[in-house]
Amino acid sequence: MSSEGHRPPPRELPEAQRQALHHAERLCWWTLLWMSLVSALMFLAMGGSQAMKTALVEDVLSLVPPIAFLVASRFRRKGVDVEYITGRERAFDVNFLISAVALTGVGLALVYDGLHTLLTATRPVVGSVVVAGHVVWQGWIMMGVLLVSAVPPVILGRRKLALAKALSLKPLHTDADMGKADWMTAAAGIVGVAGIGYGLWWADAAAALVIAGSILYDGAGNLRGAVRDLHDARPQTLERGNPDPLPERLCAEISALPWMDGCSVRLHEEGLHLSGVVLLRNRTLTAAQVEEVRAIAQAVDWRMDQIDVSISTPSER
Amino acid sequence: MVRHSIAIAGALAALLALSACDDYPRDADDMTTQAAEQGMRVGASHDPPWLVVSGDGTVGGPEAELLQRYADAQGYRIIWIPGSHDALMGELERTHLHAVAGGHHPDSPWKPKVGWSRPLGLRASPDGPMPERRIALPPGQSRWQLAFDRHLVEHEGAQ
Repeated sequence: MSSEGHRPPPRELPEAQRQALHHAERLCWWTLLWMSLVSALMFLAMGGSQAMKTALVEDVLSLVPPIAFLVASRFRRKGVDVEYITGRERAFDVNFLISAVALTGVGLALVYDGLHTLLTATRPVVGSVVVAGHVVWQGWIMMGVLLVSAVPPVILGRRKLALAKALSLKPLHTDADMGKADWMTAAAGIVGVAGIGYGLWWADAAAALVIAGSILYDGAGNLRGAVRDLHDARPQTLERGNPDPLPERLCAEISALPWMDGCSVRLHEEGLHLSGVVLLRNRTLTAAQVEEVRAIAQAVDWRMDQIDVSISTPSER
Repeated sequence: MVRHSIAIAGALAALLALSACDDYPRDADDMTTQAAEQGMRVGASHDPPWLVVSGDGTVGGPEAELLQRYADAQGYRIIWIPGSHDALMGELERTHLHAVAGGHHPDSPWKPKVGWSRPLGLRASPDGPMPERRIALPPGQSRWQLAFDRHLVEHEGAQ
């Protein structure tokens, strides 16, 4: 036995959540398959439309969160070992940061690209293709492919959203949210290409800017979330923006103990779980009392994992 | 889901309605009208045997003849503008020319900046090879490009 006190393995997920996690992984594989197909189709039909190029980049980018999710979920399963003495529950937080940085960077590049196209008044090139002996404007093909590209992310996004709620898993929620928004990307792309057809060269660049703006907005929001998570900031609900009610509930239940002189909690999110410290204002604390508090915490919700119980120092009161 | 389906169905209906219009797609800079009213300005870059610019400025060769046939079919008057390839392509990118023939390389840096016709079905001599030759077209002029490509495929044996 080494001198490091390895953290006990993370709390087992309840059956429903374990199944939801498996289901989420399956959905991620499906996402990879469909979005690769869609991206390939988009690349073949792309032409010179800036909006379509931007939509293609968004589709390729939408491969990042599911890949990160699959990697994180596999990494997390390895659990506590000699090297990772406090476990690997943060794998999802790390993947969330990676996705956020990728999104933000590409969003910035695309906004620059769109602005450049708009300011230099570059005319988009849309040629023609021969279909069964007929010469057809390529714009029709592009709009058709954009329309098709909207379908898989919408369906997969809705399924992932339901799972993200069951699992209270923010990276999956973000991924699902992005997928759900992908139909708007396709719609903006179609408007851009249709605009080229109307002779409005700027409609294309403007549509591209709208898409790039939404990518950047997603990226910046996720980056803020990732920074919060890495700082062990106050837990938030799935949609973010609101404080998670769990710490409040935990504190209320502990305060109901007859021997309690008052308590406060300092919890943070670690992937699927919440961990942290319960600080008591009592002067003394027995091992039995610590166990009592822990038992209450575990009973409050399946998400409660490692709860330490301690006597608060004067500065924490 | 129902709302999305309605939105997508609406978009499809709008697209179908658009395809019924005769003047769709259109040009960004009205170059089709311009060609009819003021003549078709074609840049010619000396590139024998496909396009030959003589000392006196007259333009000949199979590609020049092809462009002349197109102009005749549409009732346009061709205004030949001989010049160096890069200068002509710059003018084409700024939509000051209706086409540039001759001098194009497959890995030309101009490739993504301007439009390209369907590959011409031309041979320099009756039994000569048929390399992939294209005419450069101004960017953003969808109606102009579509009309030219239709002519190439329907009357000139292009693919």
